[in-house]
Amino acid sequence: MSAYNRVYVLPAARTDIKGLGDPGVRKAVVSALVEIERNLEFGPLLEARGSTGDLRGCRKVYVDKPTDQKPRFRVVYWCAPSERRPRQARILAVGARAELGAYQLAADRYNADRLAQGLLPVEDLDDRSLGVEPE
Amino acid sequence: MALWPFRRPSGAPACFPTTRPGPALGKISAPHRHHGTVVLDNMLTNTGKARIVKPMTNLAQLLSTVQSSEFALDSSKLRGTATKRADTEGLVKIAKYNRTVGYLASPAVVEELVGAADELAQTRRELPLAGTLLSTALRLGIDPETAVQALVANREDGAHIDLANLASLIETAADNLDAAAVARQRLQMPADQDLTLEEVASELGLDLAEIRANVNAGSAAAQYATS
Repeated sequence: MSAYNRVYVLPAARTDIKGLGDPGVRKAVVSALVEIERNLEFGPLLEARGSTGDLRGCRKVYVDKPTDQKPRFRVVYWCAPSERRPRQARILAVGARAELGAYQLAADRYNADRLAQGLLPVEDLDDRSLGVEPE
Repeated sequence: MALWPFRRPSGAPACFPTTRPGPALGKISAPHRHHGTVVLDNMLTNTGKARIVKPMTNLAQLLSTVQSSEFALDSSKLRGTATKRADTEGLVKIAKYNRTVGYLASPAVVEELVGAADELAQTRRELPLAGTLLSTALRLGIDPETAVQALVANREDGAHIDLANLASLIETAADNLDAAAVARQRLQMPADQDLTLEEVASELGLDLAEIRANVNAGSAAAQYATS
């Protein structure tokens, strides 16, 4: 067990995970969260896109139980308090990869969680302030 | 000497008057019309006794008298006069020697009075229930003025008691009260907190230590992709 918690799951994201019917998929998602716990920068950074909303500062991981197919599910999280100094991963949403549902859910929850953490909404910050500016 | 029967020279018995007064059937006088009241001077019966009419203290007695007052008018001329006057005025009072002996009303007035009596009777039946509903409304926190406004419905023909409207208002207030209770209950529930990985694994019935060990060993039951 970690000395301190590095992964926090939002209540809504917990509902997403519990909504995954297959127990094997749930276990795979928890395994992915363990991977994120080991390495907060496990998933690649997202960008602001019209179809997904402004998810700068968020990361994604595709996950599934072992199959021959591509992973069917997507986990979206962000590192708080900032990408420059990540101390914890906050799991925003878990959803099917085939649709953009997880992105849309994450976009809705991202700013709410930032405000809950005492941070400004992502729209009010530039890439440099978010710590996602390429060096 | 024959003392009896003593006869007058004309041959008529002397001990009896030549004419004997009959019953006091006075002449029918013209009715005195005053403020819609027909006063009939001749209200004596054939026996010379005035009819006794009980004093009327409420609408029910008035209606009873109206329906039965016709018997007090012993002559067809009186009846005709009073009926005509009642048709004109709507309702006339029949008096003898400044004493009211009855009322006579036109059919329209009788209908109206019967309707009014029915409405009054219904109102008297509804009043106890209205009191109960008002008490309930006050207990639910409804403003007394609002409750009374809901109870008294103003229509074209006057104010009426509208129990259904007040009952509807009470029902709405009760529903709002229930909703408020549910809202309070929700507020009292502990807010959802962010869950740690251990809590999520525990909720899902998974052994987190085993999963960590598998991940560390590179044998996790999962596949990932990051692009």
